[in-house]
Amino acid sequence: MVDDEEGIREVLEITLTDAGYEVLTAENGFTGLDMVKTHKPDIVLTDIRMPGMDGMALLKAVKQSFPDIEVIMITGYGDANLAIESLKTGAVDFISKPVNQDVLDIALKRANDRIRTREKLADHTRNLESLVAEKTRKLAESEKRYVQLFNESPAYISILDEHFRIVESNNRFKDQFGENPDMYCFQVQQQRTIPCDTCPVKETFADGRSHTAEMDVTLKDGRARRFFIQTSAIPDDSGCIRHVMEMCTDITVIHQLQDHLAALGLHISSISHGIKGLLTGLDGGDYLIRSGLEKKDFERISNGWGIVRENISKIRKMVLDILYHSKNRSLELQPVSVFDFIQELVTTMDPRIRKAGIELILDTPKPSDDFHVIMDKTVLFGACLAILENAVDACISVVHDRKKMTIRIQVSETADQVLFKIRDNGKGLDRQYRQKIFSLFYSDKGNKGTGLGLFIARRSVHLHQGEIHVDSIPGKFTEFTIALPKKSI
Amino acid sequence: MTKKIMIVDDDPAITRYLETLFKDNGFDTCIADDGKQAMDVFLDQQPDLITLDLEMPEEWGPRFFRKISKKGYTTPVIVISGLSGRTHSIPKADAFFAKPFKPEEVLAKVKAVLGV
Repeated sequence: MVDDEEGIREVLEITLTDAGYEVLTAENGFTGLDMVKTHKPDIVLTDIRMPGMDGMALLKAVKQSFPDIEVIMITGYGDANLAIESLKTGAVDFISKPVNQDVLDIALKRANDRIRTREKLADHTRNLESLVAEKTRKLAESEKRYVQLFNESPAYISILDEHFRIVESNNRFKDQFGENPDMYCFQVQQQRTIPCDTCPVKETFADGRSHTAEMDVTLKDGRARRFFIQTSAIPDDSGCIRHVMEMCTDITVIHQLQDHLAALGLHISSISHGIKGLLTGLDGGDYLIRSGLEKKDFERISNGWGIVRENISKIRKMVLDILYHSKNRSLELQPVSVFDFIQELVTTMDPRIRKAGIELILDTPKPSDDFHVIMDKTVLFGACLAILENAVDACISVVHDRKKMTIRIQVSETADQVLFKIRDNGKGLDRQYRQKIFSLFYSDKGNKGTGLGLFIARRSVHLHQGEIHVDSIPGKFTEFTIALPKKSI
Repeated sequence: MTKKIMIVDDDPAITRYLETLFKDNGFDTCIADDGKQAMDVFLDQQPDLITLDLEMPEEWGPRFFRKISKKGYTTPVIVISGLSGRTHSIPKADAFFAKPFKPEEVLAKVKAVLGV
């Protein structure tokens, strides 16, 4: 309470103390300001006209240093303009002399209201700040969690833009395909320079729906895998599809199983076709024998019996064949002379090779430097025969543009492997076909190929715990390599 | 005049069977082992009817059939095959018999087609 009139100070001190306030009094602005600085009261009640530092100066000084302190001005007659000026400067209210109790109460209430509001606001602000801090922490946690879920998902996930550029990918994807910024999915997964012809991502960009596909992909270590691909659109806030998520599952094992099932189906259908022919042949033998007996024609009987015998031997072979394929037959391993093996291979294929006018070059052991390899000869012979037949076909397909067609068979040893190489200078294989040639029913020979030969060849080599791979330059050459481990299998 | 039947099949047991069957029933015969040889034999012998297997090395039955059709021949063809779905391969054939066939049925059909 600041007033230069002692009487007013005393009256107001008593009144305010009665109302429950703790009251400090000062007789001028200077003393009042010192008191404010020392005691930091909630409310300052000051006369507007005082000698020395007047009420307006005190108001300005208090508001400048302590904006939260509420100031009520006490005005005299004719101070209306000053009173209004004081409100503009930040006073909460003014009361005029002589001080009316009710007016004083109203001014004090107003000051108190303002103080409470400010406290509430301060409280609120403090709550808000801690709320924001809490939410920010939770947001960061959940973001970390979702990044973790994305990264550790047990599938290959990538996010592609409309040019099929990989903008994001998860850990498993990066592990297997590498982490190259700005790469395109067809480069990374297919080793292509242009997008694939059919692409579920393209379809999702077009219609916004989820699409699926199966594709052969190549991992960064060169292994070929079969992927099942599912896509989903990732629209932006305006609903426009800027990105598509591609999730891939490795179904190579399932695919191999499908191959086996298909091979079995094919086997059964070829067997049933064969049996029909055999039965017809037997009918023929039966007819010749019966009619021969009727006519007492010994030659006819003999011919008929010949047919029956021949068909019995075919049936025997077929039954053995079925037994061979239907059980998980163990290999009949024995040491086989490489020289003999190659001789037999060449003898079998020679008529075809000669007929096609192909030169056969042998870089294989002679009897003098022959060695033995542990193998199941029947199984591996079939594999080599399939590759050699493909080599002949590859040469024949370019017969018109080549002066000289050659097939080269090479057998060599390393410390722990025996390598069989069969190389032809025929039409060669595109890179994308090189992945496929070992899969079931894949054939680039149209109606002439069954798509079985190399599929079985690979299986045969794998049974020997060996490896088979192919190297080629289109239009130049194709070279198959079978690598067999030297140690006993 | 004796009618001549051309037998096309890669299994010698079956060609001999049909040959004997037809000869016993008063027909002349000629034989081809595959689709390619079939054309030479066909042009040389001018048969009145052909029994045709579908699956053969070199050239398969339907292609041979298309070739003679293109040349304007309308020689009747009876398909004798172990392949399922055989009716689709040569829709214009006069009859289809699945291996193993009943000889009396084949004979009856041959006689009906040749009108003897």
